[in-house]
Amino acid sequence: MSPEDASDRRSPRESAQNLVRATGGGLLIGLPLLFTQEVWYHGFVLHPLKILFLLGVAFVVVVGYNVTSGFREDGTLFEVLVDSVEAMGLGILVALVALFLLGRLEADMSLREVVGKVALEAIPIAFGASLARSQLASSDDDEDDGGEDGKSIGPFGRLFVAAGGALLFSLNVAPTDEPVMLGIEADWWLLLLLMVASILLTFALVFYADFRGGRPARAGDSPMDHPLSETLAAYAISLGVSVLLFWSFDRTEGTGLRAIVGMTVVLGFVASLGAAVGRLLVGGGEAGAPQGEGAEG
Amino acid sequence: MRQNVLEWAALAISAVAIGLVAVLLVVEGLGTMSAADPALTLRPEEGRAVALGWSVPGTMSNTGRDAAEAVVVEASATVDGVEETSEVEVMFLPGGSSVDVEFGFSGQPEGEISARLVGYRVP
Repeated sequence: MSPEDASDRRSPRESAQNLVRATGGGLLIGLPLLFTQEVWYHGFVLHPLKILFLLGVAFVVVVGYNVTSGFREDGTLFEVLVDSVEAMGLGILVALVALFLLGRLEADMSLREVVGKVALEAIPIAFGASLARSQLASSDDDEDDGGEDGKSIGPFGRLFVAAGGALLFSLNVAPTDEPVMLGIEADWWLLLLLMVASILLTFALVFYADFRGGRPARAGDSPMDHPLSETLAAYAISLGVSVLLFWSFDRTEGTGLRAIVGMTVVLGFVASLGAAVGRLLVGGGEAGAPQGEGAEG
Repeated sequence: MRQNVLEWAALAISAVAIGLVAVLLVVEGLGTMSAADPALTLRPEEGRAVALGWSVPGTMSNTGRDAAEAVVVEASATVDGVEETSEVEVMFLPGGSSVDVEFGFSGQPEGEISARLVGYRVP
């Protein structure tokens, strides 16, 4: 090993900082659900294979986010997979410890209850761990790992991240009773207005508000690389994520179509905001574009 | 790639944690599902005087694999020659789990305490 190789290696201290950062990010994102009774409840009510399916979806999202966020830009797909395994594993361990400290895991509980609770709570924590690694790293770590800026992920990469953001945001709301109640009680015209508001708001957040990571409202080469088509596609994905979550949490069983549509539009509002935030986090616009450009057009 | 022993350890522990959770979920998911079956074990010998009368502890358990919601059980006993009933509701009773409860009476029950399941919701 050459002296240059040795100096490039991360020290145990840097690795420990990395793990602490991931744990902190996981807790920041996972905290609301750790304190949500409905999630503990769904941990033992949902069929275990459904929970496993949700874990699988979460893993795909974590992998996709790690690919598109640019963390380890110079790394291989295998390294990204390994990072994703670490994020999911960290999510499981942090969920286990946090639930124990909160008194939600006890000796007389069945294995199914313990595993179900831990697995469900691990999902947002794993998302947070991934986010922390790519978004909350210091500038030194950015340089070490290739950084995130300046990497254009393309329109479909952005939509993948939009799905991840939608899942992350709506996961905080989907297990609760409120979106069901709001969706069932809302008049049809109110739901239509909510749809319009979701689309307009997310368009403005990504293409007009000049957030860091925002982009100018200019069309690109492909049909999907257009502000309007991207906004509509991200909204459609948000609705899809909402339906998926309602199905996962057994909210669609025995529920009429009208109610499912209402619930989906209500949760879709939350999901679409998450999709917009996700696209802002990874940016993906013109590399090195001045921040002020986002307000043009 | 992993660059020191700490990173290798984190990866190994993560892989084991994921594998364990996945295997347990599969085993639980493919196992025979059975309807919730709430049961109550009373411990009158541990009964004690409380500010508002007499408290009899017990344990509610669910020997089925499915969860039960809003489980209501009723205990009946004779106190000073008068039949009394006491009702307890447990909000969530997961399959294979148990929870401690306390039944209240106006005084120390005489003879046996009988119990029955009033009902529960299937989640």
